[in-house]
Amino acid sequence: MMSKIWSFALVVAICLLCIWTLFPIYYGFITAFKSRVEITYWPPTLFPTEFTTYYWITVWFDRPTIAYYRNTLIASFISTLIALAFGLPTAYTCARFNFRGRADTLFTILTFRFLPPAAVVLPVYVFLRELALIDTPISLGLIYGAINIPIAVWVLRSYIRDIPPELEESYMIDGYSRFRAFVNITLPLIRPGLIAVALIILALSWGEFLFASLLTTSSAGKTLPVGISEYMGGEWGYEWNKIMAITFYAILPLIVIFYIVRRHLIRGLTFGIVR
Amino acid sequence: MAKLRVERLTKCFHGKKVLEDITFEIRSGSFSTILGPAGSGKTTLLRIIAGVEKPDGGRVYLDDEDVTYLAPGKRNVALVYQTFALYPHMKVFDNIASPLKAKKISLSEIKEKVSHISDLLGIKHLLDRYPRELSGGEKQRVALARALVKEAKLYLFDEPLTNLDYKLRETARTELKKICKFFGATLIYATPDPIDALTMSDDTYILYNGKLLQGGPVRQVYDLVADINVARIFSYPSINLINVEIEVRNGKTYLKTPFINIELSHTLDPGKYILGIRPQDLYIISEKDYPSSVNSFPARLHLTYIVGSETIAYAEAEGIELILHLPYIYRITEPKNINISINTSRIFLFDERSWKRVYP
Amino acid sequence: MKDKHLILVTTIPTLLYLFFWLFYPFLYNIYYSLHYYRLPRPELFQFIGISNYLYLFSDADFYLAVRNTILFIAVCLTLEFFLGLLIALVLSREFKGIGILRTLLIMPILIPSISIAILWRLMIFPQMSVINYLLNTLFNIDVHWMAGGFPTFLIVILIDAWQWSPFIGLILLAGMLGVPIELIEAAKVDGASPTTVFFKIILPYLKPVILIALILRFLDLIKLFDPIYAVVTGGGSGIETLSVYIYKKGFKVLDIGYGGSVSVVFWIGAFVAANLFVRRFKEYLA
Repeated sequence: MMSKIWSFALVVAICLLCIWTLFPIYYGFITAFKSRVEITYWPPTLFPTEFTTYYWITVWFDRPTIAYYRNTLIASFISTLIALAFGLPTAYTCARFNFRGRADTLFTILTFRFLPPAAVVLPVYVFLRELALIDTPISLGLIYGAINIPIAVWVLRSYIRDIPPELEESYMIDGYSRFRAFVNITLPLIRPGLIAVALIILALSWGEFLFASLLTTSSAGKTLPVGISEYMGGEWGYEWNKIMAITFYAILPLIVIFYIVRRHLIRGLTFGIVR
Repeated sequence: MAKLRVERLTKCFHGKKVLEDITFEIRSGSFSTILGPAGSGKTTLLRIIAGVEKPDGGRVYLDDEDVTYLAPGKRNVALVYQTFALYPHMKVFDNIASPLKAKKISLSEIKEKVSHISDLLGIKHLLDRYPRELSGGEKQRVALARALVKEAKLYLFDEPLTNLDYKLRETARTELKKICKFFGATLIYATPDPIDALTMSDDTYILYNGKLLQGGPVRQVYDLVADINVARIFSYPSINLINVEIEVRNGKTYLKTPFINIELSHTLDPGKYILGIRPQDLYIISEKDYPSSVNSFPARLHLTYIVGSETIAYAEAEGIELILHLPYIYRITEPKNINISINTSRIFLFDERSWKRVYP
Repeated sequence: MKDKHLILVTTIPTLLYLFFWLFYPFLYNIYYSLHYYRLPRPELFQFIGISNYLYLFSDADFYLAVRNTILFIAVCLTLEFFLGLLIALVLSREFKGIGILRTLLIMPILIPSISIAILWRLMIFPQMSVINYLLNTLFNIDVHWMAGGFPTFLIVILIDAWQWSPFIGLILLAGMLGVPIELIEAAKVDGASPTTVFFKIILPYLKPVILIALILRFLDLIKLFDPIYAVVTGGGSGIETLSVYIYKKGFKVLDIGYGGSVSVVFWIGAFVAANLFVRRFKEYLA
């Protein structure tokens, strides 16, 4: 009898959670298929009476959209590259060598992750202005790289520690240098984790808002999150169908990334502390 | 073939001394075991010799060349890990070929050498497989092949048989010795198992708590243990240790044990000592031989268990537990009164305080 | 290359890069905060000592921002913990389709917070809000979600919870699945009810994991910005957090001097908090 109640409660919980999670996504998604008029219907419709794919297409021809996409791509990729370029070697030495400042190094790096962007954005803004680097995706990428290095270091370290050091040692005894051992043994064996970390950092950079909105001023540098938020107030005002269309174009790659890395998410998001 | 000399090696981990002042020399072409319980520092010692670990102090000489800080890849040494350390993402062929590729030999020569060694070890049919598809014994042979194909100066084995099951271990022992003798290599073999040392090696070195207690030809160390720790380590099952007294009466030296008194041909200072006798050197004698047989006493046998075709027996006499090792099968269903005889030519006497051997 | 050199070469550049982008600005903030510096009129740059700080600590809005930040942290953590727990409990079941369910319910994590805020903004936008329609028909009430005050506070919490409860849920789920199955089975054999099993066996195992999840969320919540910016359109809303405060008083008017002082205070506070809690992680590392 009790178990029947629990089963029923479970079903209820599942339904509620599904609605809670999926409704906002669904509603936003189908709004992009609504016509201009229908957006403002009262009561709001749950499925468009006039199903339109028009806006999904026009959204691309509103000039800034392509630029925003491009900028987002550039910034995210640079960010990922930098985070990995700095993070991978650090992760390796922190995983393999037990040196005196190791704990402190790791914790300092981790602490940096938790600094509020808002607290450093002003001087960074001033600094970039001096160098005329405001409004470029490259500068965004550079700073995102810094923000994401801690994740790269901690998570990659976690993956490298999973590989028994004996494998690298054995390879070195075979006659190779430590570098070759790293390239031929460590890297292939952490490949899934490495890809996952890269994708997670890509995703995090993709959706970053604060720095992007404050450090860019035009379509030369603005990223998708900024563009979308501006459509809300400015250009498109109440054209929710367009806003939703571009929002989903922005979200879509991330959902794909999410699906690819789902097995690695816990490690990726808890800095490798929880496996 | 290489001569290895190790001088005053020391290594600390987190403030704890893992190796302390280790010095010994190994002859070229010999098979030496490093015998010691878990945590004695064997693995660290091997790793330092191989070069994947650097000592805090001391030096390592290979053929009189100081290799202490030389990269492991340049020492021409091979190390077989306890876990075999096979590269999981490479096929067996590539695992074995790995050291050869480092030497930049031609592909055809590599193929030939790999083929030859895998023939020898009976793993030719596995060359195309991945390590995860192999059984324990097969993995061990691949690890061995990878080491042997290198034709190194020195081979180091870190407890290579521990991960194999009992039956496999016995056959592996003989095979290993045969192969290594065939290659004429200098071999160092780390193990906690005294039987490995006894059956396979020429020389043995006893390591305990990071210190080298004794070293030399295996039989010599076995028969003339330096102290109680060596005796304990170099004994399977555990050696029997009993508190005894030496008395001198009428010019004759008597050994007073809790069970019987034995007359010794040697003269020793009277006083308290610790007697050590290995389980192999205690015998169960039949009713008719007692009490005429010398150096025997009654005891109560309460537990036996069979290992292979031998028996380990637990008996008790005068309140003291004794372990016996019998080279035949002896079963009991309930505790039984027996008579035990001591092989007096195999007893050790240790100083009560310093634990050093004073007799023989 | 010697090991020692390798260690230096791989750690120093990383630390330098981090210091450059994330610590060096902090030093500049200190410098700016001691001056009058507004970008529209940079020529008026002059040293004014701690005036900015004095103003800061007497600004009611600042304390409001601090209060709001703390309030958000407290409420969000609580809500996300319980929702996350629910998610974890639901997803810990084994039945057909659990895989899909797991993927679906965890999806919000990687969606950018600004996108999530927009999706919710769509649902609460006046005159076309689905949510208002529901509330209207069911309870006959009409709420203006974006006007500030309590309704906006609620929405921001819901947005954050919507995005991050799955994160907590995922971590708790991993913790739950790590409980040795024998313990649970033994308890069931002994006749324990599901609630007892949960509280006496599973919960103790989850403690370290819960702690990690909450600490991570806490440190992120200090910086709360995106949802507030997206949902509140201009004007005071009464729910600004510290990040929003800096944005408004510093960035919007390009008052680098004052913004700098707030940033310094904020940075120090966050640094201390992060340090305190990051030390805890030491226990969970070998």
